[in-house]
Amino acid sequence: MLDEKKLKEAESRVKQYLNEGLIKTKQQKEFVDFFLSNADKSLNSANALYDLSIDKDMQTKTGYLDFDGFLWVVNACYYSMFYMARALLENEGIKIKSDLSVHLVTFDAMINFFYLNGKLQKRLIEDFAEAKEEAADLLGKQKADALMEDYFWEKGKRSTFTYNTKEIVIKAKAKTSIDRAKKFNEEIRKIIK
Amino acid sequence: MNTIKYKMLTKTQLRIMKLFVSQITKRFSLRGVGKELGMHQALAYRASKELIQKRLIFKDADKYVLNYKENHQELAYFEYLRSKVFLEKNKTAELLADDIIKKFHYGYFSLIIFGSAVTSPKPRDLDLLVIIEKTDDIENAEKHLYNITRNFTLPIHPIIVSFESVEEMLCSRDEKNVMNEVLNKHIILYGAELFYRLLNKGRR
Repeated sequence: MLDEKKLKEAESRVKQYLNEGLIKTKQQKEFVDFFLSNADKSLNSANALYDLSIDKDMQTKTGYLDFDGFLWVVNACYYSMFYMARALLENEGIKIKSDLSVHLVTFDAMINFFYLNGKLQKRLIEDFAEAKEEAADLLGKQKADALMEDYFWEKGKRSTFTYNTKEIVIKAKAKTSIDRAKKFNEEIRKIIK
Repeated sequence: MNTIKYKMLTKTQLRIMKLFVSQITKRFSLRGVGKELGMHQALAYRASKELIQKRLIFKDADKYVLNYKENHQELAYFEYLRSKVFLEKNKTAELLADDIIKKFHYGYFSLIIFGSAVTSPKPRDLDLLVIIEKTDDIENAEKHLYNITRNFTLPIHPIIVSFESVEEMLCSRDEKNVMNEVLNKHIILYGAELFYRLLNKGRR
């Protein structure tokens, strides 16, 4: 679970960003397709790097013997989720004007404008329209929690690899990153659609 | 030009045509049509009269069947109406269709959902049929399609067949094959006119 303290901190930072003009709301949406396309390309890059990292035949054919791109699979997956988050914010007319800490500002903006106010949960509930109302509420909340947690973990994961992280662990983490990015992107695209 | 032929269909007639295209080879009695669509028998009779005049359906023995040999543009429109309803309830399939239509490189093609997903309100997986022109392209097209479908969380089982295979399968009317299965359980997401053209050719 995303802890209360971190959520509160994100909320208060967003107030500050708004005051400083780093986040602007009620803007014209312009770059939704650009961010969607970047999210898609990043996820495809992650898939391609993953395939080349596990497929010896492909490595031989392309000359990348012993290729290991798992670290960059994780990075590409995170970027895919980041671009998808930007697409969602842009779609709602929320613009991030910061070049510095744009990743933190984007994450905080997602927390503030979509998670804390239940907007993400509400949108996801529509997926469970056929379920009973109470169950749908719960499922929507769980899904919103899970998506934001996935985003949070992928944002942090990039910096958690240490010099002695074993290859098998990196490979497993890369696979998890792809699964998380796939889920996150699919759900956010449904909301934007 | 026949003026009756180009008059707009009523809502009832569209419902009837959606039923006929959903089960292409099934023979329906008009009473059966009314029953299946929950409409009064007299209304089904009245609405069907014009559909028969327009040669959208025709009498075969004592029942009626879809005329898939002509009016392919109209048939494609009825398929579009069905797919629209399906995609409104299944957003994942809608995103998938968008991606395939936008990214798939193999010329003019048909994209069809078949199997249990057609009737299930919350399908656990998607059976996908893609019809492409050249048999030689199948292997590469399969890899390309895999790279599009792999970005979805729902398990997707794609099958790619060529025009040639489609015609062969359609010729074997009594054989259990994917095309014969698709005829009476499908949602055409793209390339419906092509689909009906191939059907006409295969069932000649």
